[in-house]
Amino acid sequence: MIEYEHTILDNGLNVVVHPDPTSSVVVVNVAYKVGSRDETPDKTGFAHLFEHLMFSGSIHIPSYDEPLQKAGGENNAFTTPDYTNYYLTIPAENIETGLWLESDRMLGLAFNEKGLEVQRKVVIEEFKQRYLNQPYGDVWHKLRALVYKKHSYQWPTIGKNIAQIEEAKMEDVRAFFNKYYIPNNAVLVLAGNITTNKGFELAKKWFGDIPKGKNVQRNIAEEPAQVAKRHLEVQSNVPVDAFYKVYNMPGRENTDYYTADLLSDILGRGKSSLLYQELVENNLIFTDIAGYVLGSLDPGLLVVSGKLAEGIIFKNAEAAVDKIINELVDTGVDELALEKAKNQALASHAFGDIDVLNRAMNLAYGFILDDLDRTNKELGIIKNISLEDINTMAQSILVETNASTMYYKAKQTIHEN
Amino acid sequence: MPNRLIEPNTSFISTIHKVSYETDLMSNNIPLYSIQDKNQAVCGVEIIFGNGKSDEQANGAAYFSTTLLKSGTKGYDANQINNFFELRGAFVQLQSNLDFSTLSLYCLSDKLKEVFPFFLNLFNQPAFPKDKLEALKNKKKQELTINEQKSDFWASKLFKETLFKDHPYGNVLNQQDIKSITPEILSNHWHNDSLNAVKFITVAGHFDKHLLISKIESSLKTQTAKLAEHTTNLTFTNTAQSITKTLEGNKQSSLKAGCLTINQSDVNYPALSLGNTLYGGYFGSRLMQSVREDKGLTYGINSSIQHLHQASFLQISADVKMGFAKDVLTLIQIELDKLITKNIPESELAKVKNYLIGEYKSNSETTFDKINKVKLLKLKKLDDLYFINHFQSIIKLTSSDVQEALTKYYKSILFSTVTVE
Repeated sequence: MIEYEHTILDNGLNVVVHPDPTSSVVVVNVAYKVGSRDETPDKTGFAHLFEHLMFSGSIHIPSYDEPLQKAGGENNAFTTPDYTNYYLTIPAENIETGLWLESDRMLGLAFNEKGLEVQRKVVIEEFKQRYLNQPYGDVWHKLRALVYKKHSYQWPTIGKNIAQIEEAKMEDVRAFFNKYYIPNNAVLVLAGNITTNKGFELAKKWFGDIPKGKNVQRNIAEEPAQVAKRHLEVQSNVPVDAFYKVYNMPGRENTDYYTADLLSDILGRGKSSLLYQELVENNLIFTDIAGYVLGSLDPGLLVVSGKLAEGIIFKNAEAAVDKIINELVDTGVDELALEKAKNQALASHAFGDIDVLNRAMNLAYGFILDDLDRTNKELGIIKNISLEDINTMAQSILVETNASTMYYKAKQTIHEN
Repeated sequence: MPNRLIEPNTSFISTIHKVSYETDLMSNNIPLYSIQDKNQAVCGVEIIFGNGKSDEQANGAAYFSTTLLKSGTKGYDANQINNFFELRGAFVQLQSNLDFSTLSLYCLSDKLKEVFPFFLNLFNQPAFPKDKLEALKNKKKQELTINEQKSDFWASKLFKETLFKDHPYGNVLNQQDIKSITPEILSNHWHNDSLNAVKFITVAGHFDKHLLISKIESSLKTQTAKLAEHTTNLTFTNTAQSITKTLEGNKQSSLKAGCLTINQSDVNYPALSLGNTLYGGYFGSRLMQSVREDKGLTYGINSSIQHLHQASFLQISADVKMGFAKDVLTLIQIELDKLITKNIPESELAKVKNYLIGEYKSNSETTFDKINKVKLLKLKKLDDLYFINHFQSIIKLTSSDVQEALTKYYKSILFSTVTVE
C-alpha cells in the first residue's frame, strides 16, 4: 500500500505527496496528460519531439540540466501514446532546485530556434537508432496501422516517418505548449524524504502562481468495433520469420483491463505459460513466444508474438497458436493457471513497489487514469478476478473477427510459404 | 511568488556511508553476504560462481551450461521446473558473463521456504538434457543471425577483438562455436569450473537466514578447489588499430573508440574516473554537449570505463548520422584536447562531483541497490571502505589532477577505433 496525500492548487494542478522517511532523496515527478494519441495524422511524433524541447531551456533558466546536476540530481523523461512523464531524483536537502526547474518549464519555455533545429536532428537519429536501423524495428508502425483505422493509436510515439519531424515548426511548438502544458492538465508527485506539509507548501510556493490554462478538450476518434479478421504480410530484410497476432481488448480505465491482462499472462507470460510450454518446450514450432498487453488508456491490444523455428511455415505456426487459444476458449482456464497468473502479478507488484521512483510514477499514472488510488486498488482487483471472469473475457476477445495477424517474413524464406 | 531568476540555495552532504551487511562463512566454505530489511515482502538470492567466459575450454561452455540450469535436473524436466517457480510467483534468472556466472532467485518472502530448496537443486543436480541443448542452440543461432544485422553488434565485436585479440574477452560467439557445443562439453565445464567454484552467495530483502544457511550447507558441496587467481593487467597491451566495416543496408554509423586503462585499485583511478565523467560519462558531458546538443549528430554518445577481472578499458560508443563518422571521431579528439589543455572551470568540476555523489546516493537506496554494491566489492576484491575513499578522493581533485590523468591514460595512448557504416 502506498500512503499519500492529495490536494489540488487553485490553478488546477494536482499535487500528491508520498513521504518515505527511509529514503535520502526526493523524487519530483510531473506527468502531463498528453501523448501521441493527441497528435493529428499530419504531425505525428510531435509529443515526443516536444519532450526533447522541454530540456532546451525555460523562461528564466537557460539550462535545465546544469543546476540539477550541480545539486546532485539526475533526471529523464518518456512519452507514451497517452501521457508524457518527467522525473528527477535529488538529495532531499536540495528539493527546491528540482521544484524551481520543473515549475519554470511549466510556466514557459525559451522557444529558441537553435534548440528546435538541434532536437529535430537528435530525434531523427533516435528514430533511426531505435526503429529504422534495427531488424523488426518497424513492426509496430505496421501493426498499429493495421489495427487502428480511426483512432490515433495508429502511429507509434516516435511518429509515422522522419519527414513529419523535419517539418515541425516553432509555431506548432508554442501551440502545443499552450494547449497541453498547463497546470490543470498535470500532476506533481513528490515522493521520498519529504513530509506532506512541506510537500504541499513547496508545491504551492513554486507552482501556485502558474496561470491556469483552458481545460483540454479531446476529440480523439473512437475506433469502430472490428468486424472481420485482418491480415498483413510483410517481407523485410530480416533473417528469421516473426509472427504477430493481436486482439482488441479493454482500455486501462476499465477494470476489465486486468482480466485481459491476466488472460495474456496465462497464455504467454513465462516459460510455463500455455503457448511457451506447448509451442517451444514440447513442440519446436517457435524458438520463442510470448503473450502480453499494451496497457493503453483507450481500448488496446492483447498481443501474441513469436519467432518461428527453422523449417516451420507461417500457416502451420498460426494453426498451432489457434489450436491452443481455441482450446482455452472452449474448455476454459484451469484454476491453477489463474492462481499462477495472480501470484506472478502479486510478486511483480511487490518488487515494483521497492523503488521510490516507481512508486512516484505509479501515483502519477493514477492521475492519468482519473483514479489516483488505482495503484493501491490493483491487487484487490486482481485478487477478485474469477475463473468465470477470465473465461468470459477469453470468449469475448479471443475470436477471429477481433484478431489481426501479421506475417513478418524473412526475405530468404518468402517463397516457402 | 518566488524570484525565479535566483537559483535556490543548495547544500550538499557529501558523506558517503559504508554499506552495512552481514557476513557468514558457511561450513562448506561459501561466504553468505546479507542485508535484512523486515519491512519488505520480497527477497532475492544470488549464487555467484565460476570464472565465466574467461576460463572456458570451449567457446560458449559457460553461457550454455548456465542457461540450461533451468531446463532439467535429475528429478524434474523443464516444464515441471518452470511451473514450480511461476506458480509461486518466483523468478529465476541465469546469467553468464566474461568473468563469472550468476543464478538468481527473486520471490515473495513467504514463499522462500518452499522455493529455496528447489532452487538449490538447479545448481547441484543439473541434467543438461540433449534436446533442450539443441533447442537452445537453435534459438541462439537465430539471435546471432539477427544481431549480425545490427551495426552496433559488429562495432562491439570488432572493438573487443581489437583490444583482447585471442583472449576469451575478445571472443564473441559465432555460428561454429554454437554448432560445436555438446552435452559432454557442458558437463565437463560444469564439474570442473562451476560446481566447485561458488565464489559467494548474496541475499537481500526479508528472509529467514537460518533457513538459507541450513539449506545451503546441506545442499552445496564444500568448496575445496581454489579458483584460478587472475593476474591483473599483465596480459594485454594497447596496439591502436583503426577498423572500418561496411554493413549492407545500414542507416547509421556505429562507432567505438578507446583503449586499455587502469583498474579501480589504481591510485590515479579517481582522477581518471572524474575526468571520464566530464568527458563523456553523463548527460552534461563535453561529448554529449558537442556531438548531440550542439551538432545533433547522434541520439547519444557515451564514454565509460569498464572493469573486467584481468583488464579495464575505456569505451566510447555512439550511433551517428551516416556519413559523419569521421567528423565525430575528430570531435572525440578535439574534446579530449580541450579538456586537457584548457583549465576546467571550477563550476564544472563542482557540478560533476556533486552529480556523481548524488547519483551514487540515489543508486544506493534500496536493500537490492546495497547488496549490488557489496557484490561489486567482493567480485573486485575491494575493501569495504572503497566507495567512501573513492568519493573522498574525488572531492579533493583539482583541474590539473584530472588533466594529468587524462593526459597519461587517454591522450598519450592512441585510441583503437571501429567504424561500421
